[in-house]
Amino acid sequence: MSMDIHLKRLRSRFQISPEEEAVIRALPESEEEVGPDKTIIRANQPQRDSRILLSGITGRHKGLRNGTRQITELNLAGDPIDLHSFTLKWLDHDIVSFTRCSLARVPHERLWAMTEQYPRLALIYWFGTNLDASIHREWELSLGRRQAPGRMAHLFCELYERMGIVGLTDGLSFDMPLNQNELGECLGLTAVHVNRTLRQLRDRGLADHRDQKVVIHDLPGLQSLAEFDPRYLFLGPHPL
Amino acid sequence: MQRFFFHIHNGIGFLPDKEGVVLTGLDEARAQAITSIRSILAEEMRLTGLIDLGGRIDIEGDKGETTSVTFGEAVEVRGATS
Repeated sequence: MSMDIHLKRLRSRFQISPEEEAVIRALPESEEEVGPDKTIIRANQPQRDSRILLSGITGRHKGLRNGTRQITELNLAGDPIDLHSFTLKWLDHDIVSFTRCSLARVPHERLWAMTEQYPRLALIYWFGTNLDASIHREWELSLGRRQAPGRMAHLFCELYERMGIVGLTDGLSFDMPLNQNELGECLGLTAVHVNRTLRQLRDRGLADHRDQKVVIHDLPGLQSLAEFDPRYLFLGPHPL
Repeated sequence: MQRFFFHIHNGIGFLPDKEGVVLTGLDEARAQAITSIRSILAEEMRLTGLIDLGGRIDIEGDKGETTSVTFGEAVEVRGATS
């Protein structure tokens, strides 16, 4: 694994010069591998490093005493997962792995040195945490206002775009290793309701989730059901 | 802990659960079924105005335990006119 996928994700939006690329490639102090269903970062623990996901899928979640939890965002290969702790110094939420994951560990001192010497890179990484916030707002809209089929459709549309940027889609399909319970934790639904909602998308000929893959059959139809407006993902060339 | 499968029968037809959920026991499984039925009925009512209590969830544990929860058991209806 390498930082290639992270650079690919950055370059989908920003011009990165060879000098900037060298700075980014020198950020990690080490690489870490974790298995599936592990807690990578625990809430409220002091952090001296931030991590960039190089492969796999992670999620952030917060939970209640009764054991129910809300997943608030999924992160994909190439995403920084906890740049927030660079300024917050600890996270308010846990980050967990859904698959085997490899991560590049970047000490905060190195981020600090980068922000001092390369202010434009500081803005680009700041953009990353602002993008996380934009995704959170869209998920809030789903949880508060979209019906179950629209929520599911929206999640699939979002992941299709975010996977596609770094070449993780295969035509209209992509890996979705979350089980129905975990999908429910993203969407505020029970696993049973997720199963039924997937059936509704399948019966309408829009999409299917089977064998840990999402297959989209009718992208415009899925986007229309979801009221998916990709502008919140700030895709494509960005003026920064 | 054991895995429970929640198979839905309702007006739309039969929807088998191939994946299941790991839970502590039958009590938790029944509670999950009730939460799910309420969530499904609430959404159907928002979308169509119709409450169809003619369904049930068959719960099947991987250690052989089975039980059913009818949609009617998951709700209390007051002031019904028909």
